[in-house]
Amino acid sequence: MKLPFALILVALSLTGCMVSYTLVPAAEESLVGGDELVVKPAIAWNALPVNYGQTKWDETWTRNGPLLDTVSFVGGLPDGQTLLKQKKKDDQKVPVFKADMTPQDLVSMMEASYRVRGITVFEIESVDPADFLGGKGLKVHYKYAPNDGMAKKGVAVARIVDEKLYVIKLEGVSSHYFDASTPEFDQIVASARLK
Amino acid sequence: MVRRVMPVTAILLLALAGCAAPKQQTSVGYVPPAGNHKVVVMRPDIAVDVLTVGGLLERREDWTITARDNVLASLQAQQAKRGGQTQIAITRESAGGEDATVIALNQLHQAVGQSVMVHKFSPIGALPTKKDVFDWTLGELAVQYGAQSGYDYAFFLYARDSFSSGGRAALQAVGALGCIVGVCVIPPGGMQQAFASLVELKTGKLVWFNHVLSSTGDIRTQAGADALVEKLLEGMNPESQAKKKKKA
Amino acid sequence: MRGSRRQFMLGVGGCAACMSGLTNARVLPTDLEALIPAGYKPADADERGIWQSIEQIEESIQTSPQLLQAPAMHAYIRSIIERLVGRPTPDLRLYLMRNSSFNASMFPSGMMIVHTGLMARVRNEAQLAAVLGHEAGHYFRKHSIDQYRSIRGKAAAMAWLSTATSVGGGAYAAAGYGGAGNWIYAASAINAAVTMSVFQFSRTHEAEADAYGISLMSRCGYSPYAASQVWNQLIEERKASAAYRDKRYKDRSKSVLSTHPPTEDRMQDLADTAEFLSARNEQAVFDGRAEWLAAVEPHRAMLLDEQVRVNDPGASLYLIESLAQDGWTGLLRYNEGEIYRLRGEAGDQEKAAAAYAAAAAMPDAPPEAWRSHGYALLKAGKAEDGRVALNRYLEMNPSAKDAGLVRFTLAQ
Repeated sequence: MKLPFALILVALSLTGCMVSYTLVPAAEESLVGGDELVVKPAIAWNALPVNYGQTKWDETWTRNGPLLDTVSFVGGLPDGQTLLKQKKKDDQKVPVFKADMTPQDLVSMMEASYRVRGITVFEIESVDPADFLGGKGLKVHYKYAPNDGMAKKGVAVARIVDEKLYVIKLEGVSSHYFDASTPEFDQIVASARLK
Repeated sequence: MVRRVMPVTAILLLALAGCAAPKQQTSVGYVPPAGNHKVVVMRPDIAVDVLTVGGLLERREDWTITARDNVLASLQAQQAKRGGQTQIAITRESAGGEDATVIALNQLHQAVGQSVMVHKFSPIGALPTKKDVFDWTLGELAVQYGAQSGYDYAFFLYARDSFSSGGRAALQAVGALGCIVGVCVIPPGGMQQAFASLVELKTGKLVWFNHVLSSTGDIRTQAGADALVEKLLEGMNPESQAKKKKKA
Repeated sequence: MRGSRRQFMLGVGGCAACMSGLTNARVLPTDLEALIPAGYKPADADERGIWQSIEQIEESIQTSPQLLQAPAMHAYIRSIIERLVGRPTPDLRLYLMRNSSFNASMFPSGMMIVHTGLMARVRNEAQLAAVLGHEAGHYFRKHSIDQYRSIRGKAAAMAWLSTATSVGGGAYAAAGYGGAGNWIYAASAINAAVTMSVFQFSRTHEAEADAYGISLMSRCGYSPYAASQVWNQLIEERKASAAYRDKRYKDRSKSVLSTHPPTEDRMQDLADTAEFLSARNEQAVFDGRAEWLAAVEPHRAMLLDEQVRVNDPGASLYLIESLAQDGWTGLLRYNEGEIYRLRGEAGDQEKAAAAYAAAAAMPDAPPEAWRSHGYALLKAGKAEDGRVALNRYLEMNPSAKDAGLVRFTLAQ
């Protein structure tokens, strides 16, 4: 049984062991998920504090709070690494990223990162080619239902460049929040470049 | 050496004793509804638990029903003072609109309400882009509901209260004594937490939000429920808004 | 359907025949009478509080995206329950939920949840009846209420932060701040979950539920061995999962799928009771394999997909291979391929490719098998064959969700 999330946050703040959200300024370039991927959002965002279990190539922003909307980045995951940190003894594993993965493998890997967290209702809506980082990557539209909380929609753009994986993804509550941030997501993807 | 065993909530309560009370939040340019307007009070999400000696929370049905009735009565009294027409939706059906829309709207409000709680009422949850800004919305779903039901505003209320069983109160007393000899175990005695929000259905925006967290207060009594509702709704009154303007 | 309080009206008579002579089983089926009679209402404050929380959970289940709408399967399962308890059960609310774990839960208010993970694993109707009968045993003997009371008695200041084995905790978490009605928490907390974890129920409770369940089954002519078969299958699956991980098989009670190894005594009890009952029964026993296969057939592809996508290769291969005992099909070969593809160890690419090729040679290969086959061929450098396969995929499923990307791949 978990204590209400809000209470835990407030309590932890008093022990000073959590870093808070930081500002991502509008109309400025920002390095995300490491030191290679650069994006330029049109509006200001809030960067989430680093999460336990996050890899160093992961970064997430939010506008209204992560329960409602997030934009996440994978900034150059190398061949042989996994999207999520997992323990060797875990029963259910996210597949390891390999630079020679087919588009189908990439989609399966991204889907698995949800399934291993217990999400059972996950649907791919479409997979199409898309321009990203100066070449052709793939764009996946999906939706899923977390076991608690509201149904969410997502869109992810991914491409393998020099054997490393780059992903930008928008997720939001299906009602209002996903659609509200879609234009900004498109802007961020269009602005993305490698240093 | 003093050995302390402090459940998380105890830490919270002790710290809050030293903190300023959380402010309520309103959207920029908020004007409390006055005159002719139709407000629907969504079926409040209220529950009362008892804290057992072992530290478990058990739902108490009788307390919960009493608390719901008390809070609804307080709301009715409050709204009567305010003018306009208030419909208190005892059941989901009496909220009007389509059933599926109402269910989805309540779910969305829970998610948005939790977000407001975390990001506006906790120091480390603060979102830099929302500093001095309060602009959460329930979006098109709320507008849709407004069109379906004919209401102008929707009011949501969430409350959880818990109380010690007799055994726990005894344990607390013993624990407090123990602090003197260096073994401090202070189980929390139970706690009240509530939030309320007002949504403008024309736009879907949350125009007003307030939150109460305290270790006293008892919504099982009518007086306690009145006190909670009053604390929660204080900023919604035209009079208190006027007072604030005077101070500024 | 509003989640108002209903009574689960049931009265089940004990086994008519005397059980004299069966001395080694710890709990005799005839020792058990239903503590939940017809027209039951919650007896005290504990129960009333729990029922109220469950109402909220039930409300959320009714609109949950995990709710599986499958009228024929729903009717089939309900008919089994009614056969077991010997009468119609109009007040039982049955919900099929999409969850890959092996679980079924019966709530004190008369609500039953069956996971798709259970549907994926039972092999015949008798096995399904064994699980449902076992659940009924927990329910009728009020084990979940007992368990709750015993937990409540334990003094632990931090108890309310502990895992979802505490009933109050589960109900609170479910109906409280974390989102009204999280049925997953509730199902593992309040319930009579089908796990052999001693962590959740005492040995006495499990023995009672076993005995009760078997007596119900046997009365209806189901093979009483089905109960121990189900447990054995689960254990073998967990061992296969662990073997792949190269770790010693042991219980981790947080995962419903990780069952606690049954004690020798308990398995012995099950076997003894089964033997005794089958010796007494002159009638032929019924395992209902054909009936079950017919009922589950329309859902097979979805159930396999759900299992394979959680990427627990040891367990999934065990499942596929046990289904393949009846003969390999295109669907099974395709899923076999997917398991290897997702596992991605040395040599798995080749194994996956071989499985897809086998699938493509079978008449019932799903369109996705052709897609995977095509990509595998492309990866192996067989560009022309790969194109043919991918085109076949698009022909079979022109409105495929990833048609855009496949066409793009073909155009390279």
